[in-house]
Amino acid sequence: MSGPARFDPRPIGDLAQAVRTGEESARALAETALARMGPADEALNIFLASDPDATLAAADALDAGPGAAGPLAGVPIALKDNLATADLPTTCGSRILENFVSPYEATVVRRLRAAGAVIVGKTNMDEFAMGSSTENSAYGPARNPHDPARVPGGSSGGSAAAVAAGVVPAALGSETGGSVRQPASLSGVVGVKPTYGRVSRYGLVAFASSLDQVGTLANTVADAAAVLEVIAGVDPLDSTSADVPVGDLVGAARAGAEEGLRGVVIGVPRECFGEGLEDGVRARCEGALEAMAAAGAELRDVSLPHTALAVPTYYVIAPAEASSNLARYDGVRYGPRWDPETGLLGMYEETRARGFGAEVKRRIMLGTYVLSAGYYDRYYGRAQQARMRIASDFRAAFGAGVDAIFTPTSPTTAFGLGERTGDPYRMYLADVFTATANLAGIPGISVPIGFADRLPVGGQILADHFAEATMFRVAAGLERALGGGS
Amino acid sequence: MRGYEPVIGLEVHVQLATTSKMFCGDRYDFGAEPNTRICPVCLGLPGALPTVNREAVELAVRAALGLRCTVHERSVFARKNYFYPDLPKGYQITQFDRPLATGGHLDLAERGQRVRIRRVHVEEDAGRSLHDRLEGRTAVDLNRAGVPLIEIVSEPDVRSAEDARVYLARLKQVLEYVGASDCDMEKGSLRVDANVSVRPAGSAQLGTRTEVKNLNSFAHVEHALRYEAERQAGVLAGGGAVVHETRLWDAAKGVARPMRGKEESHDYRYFPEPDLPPLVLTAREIEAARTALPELPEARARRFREELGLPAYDADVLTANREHADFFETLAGLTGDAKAASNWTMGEVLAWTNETGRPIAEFPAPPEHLAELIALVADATVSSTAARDVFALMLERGERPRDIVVAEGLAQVRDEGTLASWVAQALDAHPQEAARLRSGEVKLVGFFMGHVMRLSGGTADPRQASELVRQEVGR
Amino acid sequence: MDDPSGRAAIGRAEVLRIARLARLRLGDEEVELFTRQLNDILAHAQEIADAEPDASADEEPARGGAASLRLRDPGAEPDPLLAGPEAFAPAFPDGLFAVPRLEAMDEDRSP
Repeated sequence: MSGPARFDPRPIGDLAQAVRTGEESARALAETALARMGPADEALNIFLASDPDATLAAADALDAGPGAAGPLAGVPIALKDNLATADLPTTCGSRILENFVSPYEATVVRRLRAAGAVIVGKTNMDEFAMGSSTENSAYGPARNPHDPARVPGGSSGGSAAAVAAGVVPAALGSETGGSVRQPASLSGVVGVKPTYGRVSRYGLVAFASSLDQVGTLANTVADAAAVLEVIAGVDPLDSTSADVPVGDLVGAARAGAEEGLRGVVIGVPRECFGEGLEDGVRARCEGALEAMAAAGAELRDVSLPHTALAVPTYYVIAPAEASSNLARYDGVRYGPRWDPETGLLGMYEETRARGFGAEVKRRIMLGTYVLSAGYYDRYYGRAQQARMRIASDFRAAFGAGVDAIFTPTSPTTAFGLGERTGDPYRMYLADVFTATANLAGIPGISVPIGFADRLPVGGQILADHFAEATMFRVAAGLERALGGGS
Repeated sequence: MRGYEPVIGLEVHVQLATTSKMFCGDRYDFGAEPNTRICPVCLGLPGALPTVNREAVELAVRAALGLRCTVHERSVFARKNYFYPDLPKGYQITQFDRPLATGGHLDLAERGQRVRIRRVHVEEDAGRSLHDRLEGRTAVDLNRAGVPLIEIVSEPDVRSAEDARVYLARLKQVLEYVGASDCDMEKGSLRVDANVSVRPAGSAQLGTRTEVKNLNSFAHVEHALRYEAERQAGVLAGGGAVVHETRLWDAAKGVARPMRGKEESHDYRYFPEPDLPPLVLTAREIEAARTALPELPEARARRFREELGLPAYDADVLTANREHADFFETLAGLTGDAKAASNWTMGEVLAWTNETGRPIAEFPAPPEHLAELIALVADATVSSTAARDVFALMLERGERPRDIVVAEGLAQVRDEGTLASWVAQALDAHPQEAARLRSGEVKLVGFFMGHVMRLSGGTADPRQASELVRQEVGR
Repeated sequence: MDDPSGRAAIGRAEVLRIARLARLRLGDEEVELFTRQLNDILAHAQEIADAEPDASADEEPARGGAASLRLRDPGAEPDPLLAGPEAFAPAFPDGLFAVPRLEAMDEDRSP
């Protein structure tokens, strides 16, 4: 396997254990991360904010105090810049939150800290998570560690690149239409989107509330599971979070790796293997299917007939909710303000005109339109119905005895910077395989399944609501069958 | 009104008397320093999310039941999107398609009118925009942002400005009775917007309506509605047409002026709030709330009239306020004399609340003491005049009336011997007048009564003493 | 406003109306660009309407998330602010958020 080295060959569980026993110091791990950060950031524009002194101080405090007992003790983690942190700014890749330091922290950040993780920085992203390439960042695009002339994917491109470049062993990202899985696929790492409601959204800057979820990125399935276990679980501050036990996800991954996939039924939806797939992607997917079959899985043809509606449905619902979620960015209470001194209306319009980039404006316009009087039923109303159809497709498949579904994560490998920025809808099609899971609320994971022309290819495992254990088991089984994992 | 009748609907926003805000745990105090009752949620910070206040739901349900509404088992929160500096999220969380309750009514007994309630729903309040605090700028205080409100929308059943005022008084009364709110317009816990149109008397069609805002008291509401109804009648009578617009009441000038430049109607782009699952109440929970409701004012007044035999006037005064009614009823129970309890409550006790500005709950004497005083008057131990003195001393000293009467010697004296000796004393002190009295001058009875009362320190039983003085006439 | 043919294109005037609703000031080039791009995207959105016969009513499939609304008890404390508005507000004189002046009588709540 070519490409950049990972942070450390040891699984995250082992790293934390080493810190807990004193075999390894949190400081040493932090120093490694910071040492890698500089050059990677130079070349790839991965980070939007970091504070090396604060990071080392946190690591030292951990080494000195009782905190070195948590499940992620001393593990360096990067956070997508739409997660509220109190010590580093949270800009969401936008000018409208330039230098904004949140006066509270996201629940997932609090849980990571309580588990002993060391936050090393905030990663680059498409502005307000709107994009599939991280080219929509107001702070310059991030680049793919496998080929810096190409995109790392988006919107969690910075987080995916941070892991792929070996700066950190794990990072948090967020998904609305595939923004963890797709960059994971393009950057050659593992990316997980949990069931909607599995992880608290309190402190995740909202893009589309009924779709957003925090996800984890790491080098292996087991590592992604380890981090997800720490951040998952009901949160009284998030009314949409689910009161469902998290379970032993690391154990599920281990079982998949060690026991293979005998007895597992994998659904293969024909709609995801038609036209539009790059040859290299198709070839790797076929290889993955063969590997799973060899590991004992039963492959079954299924149909998800409403797959074709995923992108248009997503691009009505998500912008609609976004247009409302982004109304709070008005220069009144936080963030920069541009005031042309023509009155309140002028201040609103100027701040938002200067603060938001083109893609964000486009989606706000689209969302405002589809919610506006006279159009609600035709667009938003119908899209919600189509969403139910998409969810029904999955319910039917899982209900018929399929344990997990396998699809390509992305129809293509990483495309070149600037290649798709002229055609918004073409960019939107990058989400064609991932958006269905967000719309249906089911969990999904992208696993590296090889390379095509030296660029990473990802395969996706989808499971039923709250069936992350099954998802991790199958994903780890696939990973092991292809010779990966720890 | 030139043969036209007003058709009025009222939208009332009421702040619920909860400990914390609707969608976050902040406490709300009316007088707090600006921007000190805020948190990430009510500030609308990036990433913040709402959670629903249980107490607010309970109070809203009680209010809806008090207004005889059907409370729906499932209601849905929605976003109402618009930009305003004191609306932190750029949208208000409210209820739109599926409100908490619909289909109630409020009876205006004194007007023989029933006003139907179209809906009651829960929502959050916005902050306050202050235009005169900062030179050349508007200042925003977000303490109030997120306070729980219920919006009560009536059908256009109100037929006069006076009825509107009565509706508001009755509404306030019901909401106080169920404990939903203190309904204080001065503190902003009750706000009113009105919709008014006119039509030829007897017609069933609705005319074009205007919305009237900036109504800061019940009196304002009445004046503004009278003004606007007459204005519209004038327009129609003159062959013109009423413009559908919003008007602001200018109390100083007594006119409702159209708002400037608001031609575009609002597009609030309502959609279901994705951050909150639907609010679900079980039928049992709703029934439990219904049985836990206190007796409502109308029913209580009727019971005072029919079971306690009080006149309608007394029943209305006493039930106007739930605490007053409770006080009266406790007292009536102790004395067994409802009318006496009513007189004392409406008289001396309410006078005390008016003078001190304190609520009846802080009345210093326990009802048992007041009941005792009433009994002392009833058995003529003290005169009713003396009783007022005892009352005042009771409040001052917190002692039992019986003890005060003894200590101050205020008991009425009815002993023949004692009275006779005072009469004799008075006669001896004024021999000339005594002679004239004995020769038949009846009008001197009052003169000697004055002296007897003075000699007795006011304790002589006036009837008996006067009898004894009269016996001297013509002797 | 509702076009029965379901194939309404958004014109420039409509784009300007939406921009106003969204409080976005657009330059002329942006208006043109967005007009084109929005129409393009909405044409794809039309696929939804074309594909589906209208609603088989209110089915609510499981979508993950909370099973029901949890109510917050009176004792629950607010999530505290680690810094007051003076730390992050663009204009916060005398403990108040300051904005360009609104005309007091335009209290219809939408400037």
